[in-house]
Amino acid sequence: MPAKQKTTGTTPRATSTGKQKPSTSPGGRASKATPGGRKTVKAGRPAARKSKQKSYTVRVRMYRHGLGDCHLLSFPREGRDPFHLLIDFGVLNRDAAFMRSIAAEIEETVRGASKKPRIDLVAVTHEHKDHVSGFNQARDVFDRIEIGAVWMGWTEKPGDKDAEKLAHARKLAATQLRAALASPRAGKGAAAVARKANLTGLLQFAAADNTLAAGRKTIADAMAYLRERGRNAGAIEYLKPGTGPLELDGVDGVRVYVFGPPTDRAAIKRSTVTQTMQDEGVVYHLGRGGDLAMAANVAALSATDNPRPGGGETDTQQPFSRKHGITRSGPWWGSIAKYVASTYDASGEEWRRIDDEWLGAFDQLALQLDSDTNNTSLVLAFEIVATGDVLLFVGDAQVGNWQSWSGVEFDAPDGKGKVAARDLLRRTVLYKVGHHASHNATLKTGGLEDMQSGRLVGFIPLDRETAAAQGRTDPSTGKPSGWEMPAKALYKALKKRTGNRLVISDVKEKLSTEAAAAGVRETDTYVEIMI
Amino acid sequence: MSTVLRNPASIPPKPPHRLLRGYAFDPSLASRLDTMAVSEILYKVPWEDLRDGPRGEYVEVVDVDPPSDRFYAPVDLDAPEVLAQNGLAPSDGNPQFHQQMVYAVAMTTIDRFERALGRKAFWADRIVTRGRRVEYTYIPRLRIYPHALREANAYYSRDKAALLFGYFPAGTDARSSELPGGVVFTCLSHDVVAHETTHALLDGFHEHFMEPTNPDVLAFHEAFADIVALFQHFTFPEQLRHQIAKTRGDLSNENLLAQLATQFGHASGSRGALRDAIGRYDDTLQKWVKHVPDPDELARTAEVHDRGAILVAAVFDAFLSIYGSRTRDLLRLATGGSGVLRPGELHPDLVKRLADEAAKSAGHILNMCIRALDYCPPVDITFGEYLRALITADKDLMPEDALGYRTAFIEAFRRRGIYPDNVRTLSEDSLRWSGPDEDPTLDPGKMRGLISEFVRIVGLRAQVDTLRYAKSREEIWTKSAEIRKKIHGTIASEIRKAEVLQRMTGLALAEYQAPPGVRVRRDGVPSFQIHGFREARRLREDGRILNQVFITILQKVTVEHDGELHEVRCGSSIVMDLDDMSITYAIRKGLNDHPRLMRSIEYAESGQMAAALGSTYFGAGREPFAALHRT
Repeated sequence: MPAKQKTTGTTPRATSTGKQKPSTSPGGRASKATPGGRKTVKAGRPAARKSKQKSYTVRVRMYRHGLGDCHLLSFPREGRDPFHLLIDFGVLNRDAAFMRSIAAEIEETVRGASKKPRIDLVAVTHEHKDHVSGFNQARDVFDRIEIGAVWMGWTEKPGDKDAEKLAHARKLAATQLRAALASPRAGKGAAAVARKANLTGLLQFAAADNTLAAGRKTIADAMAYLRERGRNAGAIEYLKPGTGPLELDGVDGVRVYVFGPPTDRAAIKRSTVTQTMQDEGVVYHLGRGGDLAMAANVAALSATDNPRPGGGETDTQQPFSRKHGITRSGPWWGSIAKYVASTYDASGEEWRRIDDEWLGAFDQLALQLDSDTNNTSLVLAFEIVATGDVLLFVGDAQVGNWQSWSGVEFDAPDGKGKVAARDLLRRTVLYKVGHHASHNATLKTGGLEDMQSGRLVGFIPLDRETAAAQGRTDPSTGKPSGWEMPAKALYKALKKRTGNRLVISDVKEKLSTEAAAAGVRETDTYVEIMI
Repeated sequence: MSTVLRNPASIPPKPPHRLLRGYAFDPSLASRLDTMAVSEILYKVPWEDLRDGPRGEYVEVVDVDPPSDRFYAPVDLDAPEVLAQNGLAPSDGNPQFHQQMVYAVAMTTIDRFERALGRKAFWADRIVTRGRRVEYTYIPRLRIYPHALREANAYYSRDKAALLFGYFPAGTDARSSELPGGVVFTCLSHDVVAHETTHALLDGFHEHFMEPTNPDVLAFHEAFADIVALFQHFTFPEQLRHQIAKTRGDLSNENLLAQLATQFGHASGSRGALRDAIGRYDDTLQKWVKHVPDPDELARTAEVHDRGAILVAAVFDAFLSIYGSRTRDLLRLATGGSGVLRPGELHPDLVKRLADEAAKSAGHILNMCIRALDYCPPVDITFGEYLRALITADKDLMPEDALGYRTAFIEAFRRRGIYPDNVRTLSEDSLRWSGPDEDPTLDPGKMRGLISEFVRIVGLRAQVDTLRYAKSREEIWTKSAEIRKKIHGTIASEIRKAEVLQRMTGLALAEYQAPPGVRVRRDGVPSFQIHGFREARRLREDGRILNQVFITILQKVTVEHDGELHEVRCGSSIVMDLDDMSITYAIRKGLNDHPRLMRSIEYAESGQMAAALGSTYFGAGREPFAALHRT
């Protein structure tokens, strides 16, 4: 719980399970309300913790649960339970039972002296399945865990005008994509089927996804759940870049800085074409055609073959007046049947047909939707004051987000001068690699290259098998193209920069000797390091 | 058809051209008062027999509109009603006119290309891989889909051997000259159609220029397409005069000739044309500003179109210098010797003379740019190498260069930081590709003997003649495939000749001599491909005929980099003088150029070509130009 944060003390409501004690958060300072009795329950354990306490400031666990993020940061506190901070809990293509087992493991880890499980702070980086799905899948487990506070990016704040604009645009894009997937006009040939599968793959990240079993809950539901838990705890923060340094309740010598998501919409939208479009608040551009072109495509999806009797065409985007168009079932087909048979329909020339090419526009939209959401990632840097070491958690921030940090500054804790985000970046000793080490999710210049520490360790949450099973299926081989995770060039650069102290969460991955020497330990469930 | 025989003397000869009305640049000119008078043009395309579509020898227009689920009836350009009035009148609401427009512009572009090269143009073969066999199929006609997409995009698809054009509603910016929400058709823009057609022509010429092995390759594709579209503007006589009058002869000021896709640019939300060779609209200053050449810009620029724009600007700059030097005397004559024009309008005679000079210079520049393609390496082109190709090609034809064309090019390229690697100076002589050195392991004159013997064994002269007298493009295609096979066979079986060629090209051609990494056939001959065989007979300025053959050889090599194996394409373009029976140049991208191989691999790995997440999720694009043009 951030000690310096102004929290609006809402009256705590019991969660649906009713397990939350009213006494835990009177007036918002949830973490302060740790009942004193807790310490006395078992005398042995705190002592054991105490000895550990000396050896490190924070223990970072990266769970090995698949293609998704879940990190538990535990900060030992003098004479108290450690401060537990959970950053994200989501995955692709894993069932609820599995995720519940991971959640149960976390539950045990965060069980304090009073036997009550408590996560002092949950930080959610962004609204993507691979970062929040677990809050749906293991909802019952989380209901049992006390949550002290919740942090999200400013982009998730209900009522924020800019945030809502973004959310609206994302929703519109997602709706358009779903329309594309649902339309019978978009799915005739094998290529179209492959394209659809690909779009579905991308959409599975998105907010309103409800196609996969998570108790039929959407990603938006997971976000809503966390907002509610935060509100119930009386401590929910929507953070803007430049916020900080914040302190974690009872944790000495650790400061938290917020780098992103950027408040400049242009930084979130890297594909913005012109100033005009920005001025107009257009958020999604397709090619250079803008929203209108997309609307034209969507209109095409819902168009019927024939004009309705007595009514107009459903497709208002027809390029010519109606008299020019000829359909295969229409009255003038005979006049062009021969021409079409010898050109477009010619046998042996099927490969030249373009029935589905126009749907390529939707691929682009899906990509934009995905990368824009990634760019709303909450980016947190944890500074260990004594050593100056920094832990950097970037969510899935992409280029635009990274670039925006160069302008981010914080008031120095001593009240004198400023601390620049770039300066903190330079001192990074643990970097949670963005977006499962895909291309474009780690900026080279002004990013990785700036991380100068000779002890830098990289954590990559990635399951290679899941990543390889994604992408467009090649109709001839039936094999998926796979997602390029990790991106080769980046992986190489990371290896070099970290001196091979690079850890992939994949259970099949062997821990490098360099990483082990740097103090990284592994179990089947997690990889951890003490700093 | 009547069966009555006609006296041949009474049959009118086939006309050399078909005249077709169309938009000069795009429909936007018609809606502006200052350009209204010059918004239309008569395209003069070579006469050919046409079927409805139109479908001719080179292209077939197929008007299907999948997003609207419609077909539009094909235009019959031979209908008397159409023939009698030089084609249909320009109209953006008439799909048949759209078909006529794409046909007219595509054919004009093809014709321009063929005239520069002096031979027939071909489309890229269809390549189908069946197991280990690779089949090449002849594609007679490029297909053109004028209404394929609903987006502000148009692209050339090799997979479909087609051009796809989109249409889209104009942006809602009321300050733009377009009707907000009004439909903009990319197929009605001369520039867009010429650009895409050139992509297809270039791909038919250099198949591997679509493989991004360095930051210049795709940029070159884009730049070349822009160059052709741009210089075609100078064949519009009225528009040229209009713009010369407007700029008072100074074409380095904002003018339509130097801009591409005006309507497209405005409709998609920018204040200016899509691209401009000499300046741009500055959003903060709210006006057009001239671009100042910056030698460091190229190094800073990675995006394909931006990079290509630098090459276009360099070529246009060379044009402006040449135009300047060609017209200086006219200006002196018109100004009583001072060369300083008085304020006010130019005399129409002066405008006409200036326009003639501009058209002539533009024609020369475009010829140079197209002919240089014969002198490019077959893979991994860089801008610097293109400059070398330009200089060499021009020097072969115009040994004198009295008007300083080559100097203008070198200077313009230097101003934009375009230098080739491995040249000692930027002089004409060091830029020119070097000829093969005398081989130190052979007796003097021996190499020459081996080469001419090689020419004799292949029967190169006779073979080239059969090509020249071939009746159809398909026949030429089949014949040159046979010749290529024969050359391949000769190299494979004649070890001494192979050794000579091997040293010249930097490839492995002789049996049992392949370095590791090159695949070797069972008979010990390294695997290589005679990829291109082209001939040209061109008139030099001194009246001599230059009788040349261009052969491209390709080979793949597998090299290790950071513990991984990578396949890199190598190759060489050989320029032969058929009269002399000698090899004039061997332009190499050889196996032993280790730094280049490493650069290619590192470039591929750096994923710089990947458009954001596109490559993560979709893998390498199936339609490289689709994605390129979408960004």
